[in-house]
Amino acid sequence: MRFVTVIVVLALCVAVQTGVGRLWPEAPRYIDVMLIPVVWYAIAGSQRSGMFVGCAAGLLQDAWFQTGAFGIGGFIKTIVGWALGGLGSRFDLNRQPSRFVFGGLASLTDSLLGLGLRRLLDELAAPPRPHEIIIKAVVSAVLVSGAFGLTGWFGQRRRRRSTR
Amino acid sequence: MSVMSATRTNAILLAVLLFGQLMLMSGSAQGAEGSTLLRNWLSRLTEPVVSASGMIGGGIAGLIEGADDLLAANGRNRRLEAEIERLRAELRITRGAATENARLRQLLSMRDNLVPLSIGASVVTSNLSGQTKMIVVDRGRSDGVRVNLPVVAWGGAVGRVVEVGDGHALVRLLTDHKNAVAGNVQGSDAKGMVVGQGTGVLKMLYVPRFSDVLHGDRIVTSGLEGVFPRGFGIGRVTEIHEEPDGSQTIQVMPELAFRTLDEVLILIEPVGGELLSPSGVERPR
Repeated sequence: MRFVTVIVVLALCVAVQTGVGRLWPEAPRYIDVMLIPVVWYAIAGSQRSGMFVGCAAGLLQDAWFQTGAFGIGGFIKTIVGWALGGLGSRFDLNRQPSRFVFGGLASLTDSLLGLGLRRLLDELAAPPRPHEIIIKAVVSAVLVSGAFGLTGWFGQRRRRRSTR
Repeated sequence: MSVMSATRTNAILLAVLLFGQLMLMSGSAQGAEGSTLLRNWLSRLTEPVVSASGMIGGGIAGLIEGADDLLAANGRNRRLEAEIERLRAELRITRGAATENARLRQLLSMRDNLVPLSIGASVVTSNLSGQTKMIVVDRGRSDGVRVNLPVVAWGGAVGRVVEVGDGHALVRLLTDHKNAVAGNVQGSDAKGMVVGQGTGVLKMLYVPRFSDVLHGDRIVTSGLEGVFPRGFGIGRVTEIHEEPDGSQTIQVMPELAFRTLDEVLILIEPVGGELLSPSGVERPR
């Protein structure tokens, strides 16, 4: 059941990223929807789930939204999932401010790892500008907190209905 | 103890996953089959989702554009009426020219099928962020699309196909940092290689220093790299720099607005039918 949920969530993220790209082609510069499930599963699940979801999300991103070497996105997001999962087990991430911070940190790590890896592979022609990386981190932080807030709200509603 | 072993298991899993992806990267760089297979498999699995989402996104984009157009339609309508009148007059002249053209073609025994064979495709999604400049179109292997086919739009060259799925294809745009196309200055013999920078502009390299190039000149495909037929617009010259090696580097502003691309043409047979061979020249009728 959990595996199916992961697939549905990833498919949903691919759909949202596709739709956003269709409406605003420059959007991937600031919005990385594929990072949301990685952060989500690393914080709400375990380090292992964060790692596997990161791997799948990154490879999907490589398949649909990147033209470089296949596997770069998977490599980066696996590390992000693993690192966040490790931190998630050491810190209290049940509050919105800490989720916001970790969402932003995840995006920063993703961008900087991407920068380094692409430079290493000689695939970096036009590096993102610092303000783009920061905006992307803030947008990711908002999206992560939003996702947690939304699911929390739905969970509360469901509990209230069941107690009536 | 169990926490320790879970951490160790995760570290081993991480190492395995990262190693696997390093292999994928190196395979992808060398064009290995395994890497392409996994990419195709992932694309095939999520293709319906992407197509549906692209359609919805396209619908919404169409609605927004429609609303914009409606606002601007009134003034444009009047301009168009005047334009129609002018075009009617032009059409009369063109009809005469077409008849003359057909007669001359017959005289020269030229074939009509030298026009490239193409199929239309709609843009499903685009990524113009950072150095990646690509679009996904809704035509794939089942429509006869193959890797390396040129893609054009009204007004010029768009890019080339780099990945093909059953019902979709990834097109690397001219502005992508990994793209290159042979070009020449229209109306001159100056030739060079137009390469993407991963930014909004292109660079034309290896143009001989004494070539006749001016600001504002139009760059078109020369067909020398064997992908694009000659004559498709690439862009306009904005800057000219002299290099120490005796060549010129030209900055080119693309002609097409890639961010507003909705429909493109994939040239299935870029040279169009068969080219005339010296032995196959038709006799005058």
